[in-house]
This record gives sequence, C-alpha cells and structure tokens, in this order.
Amino acid sequence: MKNLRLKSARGAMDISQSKLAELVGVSRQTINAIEKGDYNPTINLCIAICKVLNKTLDELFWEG
Amino acid sequence: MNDSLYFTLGMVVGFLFVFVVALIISKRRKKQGKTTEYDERQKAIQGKAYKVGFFVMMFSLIANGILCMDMKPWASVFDMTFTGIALGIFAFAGYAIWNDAYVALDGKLSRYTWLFGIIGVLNIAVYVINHIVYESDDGLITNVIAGGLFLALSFVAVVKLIYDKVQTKKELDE
Repeated sequence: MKNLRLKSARGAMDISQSKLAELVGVSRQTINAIEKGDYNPTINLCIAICKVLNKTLDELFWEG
Repeated sequence: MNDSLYFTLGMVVGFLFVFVVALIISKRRKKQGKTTEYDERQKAIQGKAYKVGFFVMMFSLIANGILCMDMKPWASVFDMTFTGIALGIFAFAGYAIWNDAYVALDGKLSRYTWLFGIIGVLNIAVYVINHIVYESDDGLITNVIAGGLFLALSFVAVVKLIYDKVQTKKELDE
C-alpha cells in the first residue's frame, strides 16, 4: 500500500527523495520503495524518517 | 609430476593468491573505516539474490549431471562446473542489480555498466586472440562464458538505468 502521507510530509518540507535518503542513511531507491508501498521499513528506519520530517510514527506509518 | 598436475597446482595457487589479496585489501579498508555500506532493504534483497543464485547454480549442475548420464560430456568437468557457477553469479548479480541492491550507498550503477562491459570484451578478446593468433581453443568455454557473463550483466545494468529514467520521468509527470 502506497505511503502517501510520507510523500506529502516530504513534499511539505520541500525535501527530495535523494535528500531524505541521505539524511536518513539509506538509498534513494529505498525511500522510493517505501513511498510506493513496495517495502516495509524496520522500526529503526521509521523512527529515523520521522525525526527528519518532524512527524510521529502514527502520522506517517500507522494504517488507521 | 606430469604437466596437468602442474597446471592444476598453478590454478589453485592463482585462486589462493587472489583470495588472500582480496582478504588483505578488505581488512585494510575496514581498518581505515572505508566499508561498503548497504541499507536494510538492500541487505534483505541481497539475501534473496543469494538464494536465487544458489538454486540456479544447483539446477544447472544437476542438469549437467543428467546430460552426462546419457550423452558424452559436452565439455570438461571444470568447464561444466564453471558454466554452472557463471549462471549462478548471473542470477545473483542480475537480481541484485534489477532490485537496486548491487551498488552500495555511495556507488553508481553506471560505473559498473562500463566495468562489466570492459571485462566482458577483454575476456572475449583473449579467446579470439588465442584462436586466431595461436590457433588454440584454450579458453573456449571459460573465457567465452566469463565474457558472456559480464556482457550480460552490463546489459542488465544498462536496461535498468533506462527503465529507471523512464519511471522517474513518469513519476515527475504525474
């Protein structure tokens, strides 16, 4: 399932996939895969992404 | 000791030398903090790629064995084994390249495209030179298979680069 919340949070901060990947320490393709719903990140990666985008886990990753 | 034993010993020493040099370089790089880094998704995909490569190699070796049961072996034992290994490596590397798990975080796929292409061409050239200049069929299987392997991987990398460009353009247009 696509993660549109992540994509829009990234867009709101005007950060490219490459920049977010660099800040979080993963490849751009991994960020792309997470946004497309092709990869489920580990909790550590989720937390790292939330810290960079200044969001909570619920806001970005909870399917509620 | 006869000639073929010297040839075999030479090959074993050659492999050991490459292995030891690779080990020394790897340990030095680790000490200098220059490790090759892959992210969690890449490591997971590499695990799958190793599985794919292993099974492809296993099935090709089994296929060789079955072929040899009824027919005359199509090549020497070494060449048949080498072919199976090459197919396994192609399966592993091809799967990893297609799923963006072959190149480390700080690497570029385009560099590997060139590197694989050059290695492939060099291998084929070695066989051609042996065949034309020295009129020998040395390397018919090993050099041709190795050359084919690297050219095939280079092709996969090129297709992947083109596919990524098209996908990125599509996503930007959306």
